[in-house]
Amino acid sequence: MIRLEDVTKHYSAQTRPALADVSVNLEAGDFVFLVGASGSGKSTFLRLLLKEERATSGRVFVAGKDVGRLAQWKVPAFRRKIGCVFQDFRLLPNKTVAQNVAFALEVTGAPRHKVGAVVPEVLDLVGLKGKEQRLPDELSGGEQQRVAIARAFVNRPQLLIADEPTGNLDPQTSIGIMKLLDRINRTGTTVVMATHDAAIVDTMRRRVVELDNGHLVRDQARGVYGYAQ
Amino acid sequence: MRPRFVLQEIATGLRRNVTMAAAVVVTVMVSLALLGGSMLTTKITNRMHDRYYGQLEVAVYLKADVTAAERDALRTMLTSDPRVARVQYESHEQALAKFKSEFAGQKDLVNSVSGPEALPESFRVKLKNPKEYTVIASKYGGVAGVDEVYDAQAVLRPLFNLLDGVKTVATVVAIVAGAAALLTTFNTIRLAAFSRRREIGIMRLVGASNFTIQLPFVLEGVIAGLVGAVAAGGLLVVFKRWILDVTLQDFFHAGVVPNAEWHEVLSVMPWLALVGVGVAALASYVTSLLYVRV
Repeated sequence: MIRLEDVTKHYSAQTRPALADVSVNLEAGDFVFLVGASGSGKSTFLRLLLKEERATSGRVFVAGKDVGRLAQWKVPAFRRKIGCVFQDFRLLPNKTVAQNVAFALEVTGAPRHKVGAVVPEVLDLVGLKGKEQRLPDELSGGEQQRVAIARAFVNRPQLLIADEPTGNLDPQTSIGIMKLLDRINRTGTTVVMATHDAAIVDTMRRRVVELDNGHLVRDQARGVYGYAQ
Repeated sequence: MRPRFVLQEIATGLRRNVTMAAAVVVTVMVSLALLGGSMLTTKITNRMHDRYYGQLEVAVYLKADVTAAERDALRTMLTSDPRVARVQYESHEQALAKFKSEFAGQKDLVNSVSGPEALPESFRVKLKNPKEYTVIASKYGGVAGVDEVYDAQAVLRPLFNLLDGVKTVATVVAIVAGAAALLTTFNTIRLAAFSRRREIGIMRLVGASNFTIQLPFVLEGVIAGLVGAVAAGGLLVVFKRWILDVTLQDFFHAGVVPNAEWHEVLSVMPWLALVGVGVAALASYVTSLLYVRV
């Protein structure tokens, strides 16, 4: 699903590369935790997958596509195969829960009957049934993140990228979100999640990829957050 | 792309940016109204050209002591001149008759003319190209028996100059106002893109195409341009109905300068709409390319 070959990324303002010679292969259906301190290159890693950044050298493959060589006009179609969830939810404050989720379908030109059918289904899946007409401000942080996940998942992407999705949430709420991501992963969607939450990583015991100063220092099949000495 | 969704986005955008949208509409309206005014002046000038240049003749007045030989020689010369379309001789008696009929209302003036001899005989010459008057004037001015070559157009020339001036001023102001409209459109779309950067970011994230992201901006520009064009059309109607037809009524009644006709006012409007919509759409498209950064 995702393959990085000797990927290095330099930002022009910095001498040290954000990613240095990273090679990794993530299979379809994997659930992968991306861990590492702030500034270790996690965000750059995720941005490369979305073609929000271009690798300085090396090649990035996502869903069989060479992302670096993808023509700019094909990027929108490419991004529809990828769902994204962020720490700050990124919901539209003036749209209701249902409208926020429908937005992802509407911008891709989905017909109204499809939007009408799919949105309630996905909101039901993430456990927000009955809150379709609420505005994001009227929801708790966990609920807002569920809306964001519903929006990311509504196009049935092959890959779900989550950048610290539990970063703003309390531990109890975080568990709920992780259960939800786990369910989505079980439908066959590959999930890549950058996180600082040791408890979650240690509980889930999934594949862990660790970055340190841009270098890949660990790739463990059923890993934990810190080194299991 | 669902039309209802696009319309919602446009409505939101225009509502959020209503003062700037109003500024676009007003500047577009002013520049288009002036453009329309310049187009109408062109139409009027053309109509005047057709009317007067079709009728106007150059008068070659003969001296009182002209001989029959000189008169015949001049007639031959004029008839064989390639620039001349038609020559007509006007005798003393014909001149007096014409004078009497033209000034029939002014008895004193008519009575002041003692007899036919008081008015000179002349050749009425119609030129193939009325603008070649100066060539004719210099060629025949010195011929024996000719007193004066008189161009009736000379009277109207200041009038044409005035209309040309009006047209030039209207066009220049229309261009300046058009530039202001362009800059205002540019700024409005830039602000709209800024106020919607969150939506744009999310649209990009969920894989909206560039077309989808830019369309609402372009359509906002089109709507503002169209509203401005309609307002400009309204302004022209108001100008025709209350300024030209009422305030300047006496001026046109004299019949020297023709008034703008309603069908002319109407025929200008589609062009205003076309220019307004086209320019606004182009300006918003270019701005959205720059600031939406899809």
